Amino acid sequence: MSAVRKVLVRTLVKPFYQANAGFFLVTVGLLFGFLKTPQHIDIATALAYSPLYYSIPFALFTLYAIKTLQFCYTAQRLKTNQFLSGLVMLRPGARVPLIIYLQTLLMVPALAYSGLLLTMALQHQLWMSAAIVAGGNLLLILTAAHFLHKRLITPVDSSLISGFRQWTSKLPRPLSMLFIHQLFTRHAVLLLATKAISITVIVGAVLIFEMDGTDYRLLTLGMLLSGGVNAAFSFQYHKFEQKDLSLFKNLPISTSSWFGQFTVSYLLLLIPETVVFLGNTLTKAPLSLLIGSILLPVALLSLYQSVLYRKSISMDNFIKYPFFATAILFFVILGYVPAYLLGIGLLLVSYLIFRVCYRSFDLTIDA
Amino acid sequence: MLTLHSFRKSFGSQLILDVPELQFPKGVHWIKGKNGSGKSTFFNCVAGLSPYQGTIQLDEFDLRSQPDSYKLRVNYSQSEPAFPEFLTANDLIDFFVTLKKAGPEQAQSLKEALGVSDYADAATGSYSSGMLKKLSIVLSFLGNPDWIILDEPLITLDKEAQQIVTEMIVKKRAEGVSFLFATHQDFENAYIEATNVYEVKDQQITRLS
Repeated sequence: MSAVRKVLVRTLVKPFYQANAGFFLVTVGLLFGFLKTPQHIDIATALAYSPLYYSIPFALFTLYAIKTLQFCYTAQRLKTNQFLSGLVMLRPGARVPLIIYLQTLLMVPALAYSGLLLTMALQHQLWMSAAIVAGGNLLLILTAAHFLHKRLITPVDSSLISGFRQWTSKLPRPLSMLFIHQLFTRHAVLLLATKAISITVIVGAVLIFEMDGTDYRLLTLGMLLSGGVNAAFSFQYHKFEQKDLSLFKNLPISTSSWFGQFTVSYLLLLIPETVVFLGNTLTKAPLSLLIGSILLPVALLSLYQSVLYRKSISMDNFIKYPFFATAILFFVILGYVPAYLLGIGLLLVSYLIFRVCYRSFDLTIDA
Repeated sequence: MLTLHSFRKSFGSQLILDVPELQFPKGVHWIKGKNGSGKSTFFNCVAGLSPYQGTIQLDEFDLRSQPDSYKLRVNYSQSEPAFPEFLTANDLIDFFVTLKKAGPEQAQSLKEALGVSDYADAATGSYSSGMLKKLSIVLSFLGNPDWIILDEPLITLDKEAQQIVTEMIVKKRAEGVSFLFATHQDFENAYIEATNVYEVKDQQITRLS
């Protein structure tokens, strides 16, 4: 049984955290970077105080549980994961606890915060609230596990799955659009969730700027964090190249063209953020700052992609790069370095790294 | 002439191939070897998909320093072709036609010859392995290559398609195109006679005949 458990964790749980590393990076960064411990405790106490207030985090945990289910459904459809249909051969007595275990692992971030809420409730002797927090989490895990179980034992078609296929198939398909198509086809929910969070971060930054009115750095910081949220897409793009575009390396596409193509891909990928950003700031900040701020996440994603050509690395090792880049640039921006200089500078650096590393990188082997 | 000089290929610390000097004159060259001997790895390097040490040169064009000129002249069909599943055969063919500077008529005739036209508007994610192989062979014949590298060109193809591919090779050979291919099947028949047969063994590529 441990062999089955190990395979399932590596097939479903580990890829989930790898695919959502950017999301966790920003969420954890925002929560623990900007709020101090006493503030965290105050918020947790308030949320745990009454079942009504607890419904707010419970709603977020429910959305998170849906996200985990969507990911598993998509993973199940991959040709490489068709062996998962063999789970039906396990007797229910072994299968059900296994699925509950998997779902619990997937819900760890939500459970961690629930643990804090439970601790606060118990400390303040709010027994009813404690019972509701514990019971709510248990109900969520069991419900999600039920759906996951039902799905995993049902054979599914491994062919194209996304509901977006109907209208996205009409979009043009030059090289720079292929990754966008791939996201719509295989990672539609991840794409939408990432966009939602990224746009929320930008809107939040704009709102804080409007309260202050003068500190333009806040706008650039918002776009920097947006780049962090989208960082996992660089890894996804790299994997897509390895898996589906290896033959394209036989084509006479110059190194500069290849760099240009994926930079344009990121520019296109960040259109929603660009529209929201410009829509809220066009008349409020200098044009050079706005353009520089828009260029910043594009340059960052290109930089992460270029770094991935240095050597084959796993997602676990990759996530250090966006984390440290975001942290360093955070202070650089606070140091009043102009946004346009940062954006252009990073783009140049990523091009140079790409030129050095691309030719020596073997696209045909996996990390 | 396809020339290798001080050619080495490693994956990390594991040496896969070590070929001090090897030349492939114009013709049809059959590369044999056991599973895992490094045939596909060799082809990936010669096609420009994988990095390597040493030099790979086609006439005066070096793969490393003149990749665009080299890749216009060398086409490749992989053993297990993989394409973005949302693209159709027509999308891929149009793409390759543009970059390999092929003509639309050539693409159309290749599609019809192998029956790819029948499903060219469907996404490749819905293709069987045989359909993918046919598409891969169509792509490898596009343009005006001097060399076509075929890794297991006949596997997963039906008998009729195998015959058609054989005829395509004969026709291209008559036009002066050279071939490097690997196959576990007995490829030599009444139509094709390999100029040279090589074996990949113990990190070496040795000419057998």
